Amino acid sequence: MTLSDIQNLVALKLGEQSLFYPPEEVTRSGINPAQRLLCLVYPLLLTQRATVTVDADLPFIDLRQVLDTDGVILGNRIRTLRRVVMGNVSGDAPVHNAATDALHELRETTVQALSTRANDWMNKRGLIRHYWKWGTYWIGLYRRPIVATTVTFIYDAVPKQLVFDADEPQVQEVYHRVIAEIATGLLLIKEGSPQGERGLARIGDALDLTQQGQAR
Amino acid sequence: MTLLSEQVSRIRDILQDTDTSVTALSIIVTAHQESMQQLAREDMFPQIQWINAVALQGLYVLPTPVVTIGHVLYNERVLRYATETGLDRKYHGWEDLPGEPHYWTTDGQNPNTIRIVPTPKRTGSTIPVIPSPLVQNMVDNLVVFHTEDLSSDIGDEADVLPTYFDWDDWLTYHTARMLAERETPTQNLPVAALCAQLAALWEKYLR
Repeated sequence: MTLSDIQNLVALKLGEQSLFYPPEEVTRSGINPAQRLLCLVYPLLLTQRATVTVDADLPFIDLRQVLDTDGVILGNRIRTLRRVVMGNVSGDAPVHNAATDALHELRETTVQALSTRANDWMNKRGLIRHYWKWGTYWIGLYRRPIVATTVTFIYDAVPKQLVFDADEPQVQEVYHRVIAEIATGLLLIKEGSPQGERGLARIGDALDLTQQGQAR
Repeated sequence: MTLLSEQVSRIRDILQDTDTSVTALSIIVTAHQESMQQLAREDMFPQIQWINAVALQGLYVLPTPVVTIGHVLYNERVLRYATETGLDRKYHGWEDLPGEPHYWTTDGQNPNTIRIVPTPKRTGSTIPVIPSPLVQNMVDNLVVFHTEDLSSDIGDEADVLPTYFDWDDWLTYHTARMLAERETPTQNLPVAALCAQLAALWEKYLR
């Protein structure tokens, strides 16, 4: 379903009150938050991969400065980093890291653990076996790469914002009606009691995916 | 990371607020800043900061938005946190002790101020290094891993929030709740209660 289709479905659920629920509000306050909530509750619905080249000697990268293939800031798409793999494993044919011929998983560590292990951990260059995170945006390789190194991030993704009528949610089509149902619930909130309470109940029901496809 | 203007529109949607005056906008933005500060107090905005180390200077004032300091490096090496009592036991006159820095402390210092012990003997380079996320050279300089409060930077509708989209959603409902339960003629406690439940729903899965 396209954004336009989902908007129409939500409008039907809301009684086609386009004055009280204009389409831009349906998208802004309903559909986009709804698809994010769905993927937040069920992160496996949208897992993605991104390949990043870390320049030689770079101590860490700021994911807010890295764009994905769609030109979106990668830091905004990564909700939870599941794995980091040396080399490019984003496609069907894995590509080993050019300089080291490596294609293996890196283990997660922390700044705290590295600091406990060695005072000069930031200064160490060479074989890369770990990655560390500082907050949600900063990621470093341990040790610092001697040459430019390609790594693949495998992550639970935040769905792309739907903007244009022809845009489609990134999750499978079978969940698009669930998005419409959650969006309807979110939009009803502004009506307060009792409609808003019913909206909240609809969200709860919709997030119980065993009910997906249930007619209302 | 959405525009503040989008957040404001969503809050207005929920509150059915059609007042687009500067005063009304200011009320929403102020409430939104309060919501963001709650996240900042929970160390939600980690940052890595480069600071130029200066020979024989032990005290360094960090930028105002710094909330909590996690780790400090000098010359790409770890400095350990020490309390005043611990430093008193270890050194006599540690405030006037030049050498290779080993410790950092905020104990007994002014807010947002760290003291490096011993004070460095060398001044670090300020010549930019490209590529580097910090742009500056870490050799003989300080690098501070900390969290910050960016709420004061978010005041203009064109500003981009520093949070994930998910936390942007939480902020929307949290701020809408605060505004809906204000003691004003537009108070709407049912909507405030529903927004609180939605914020709690997001929070449950975000933590």
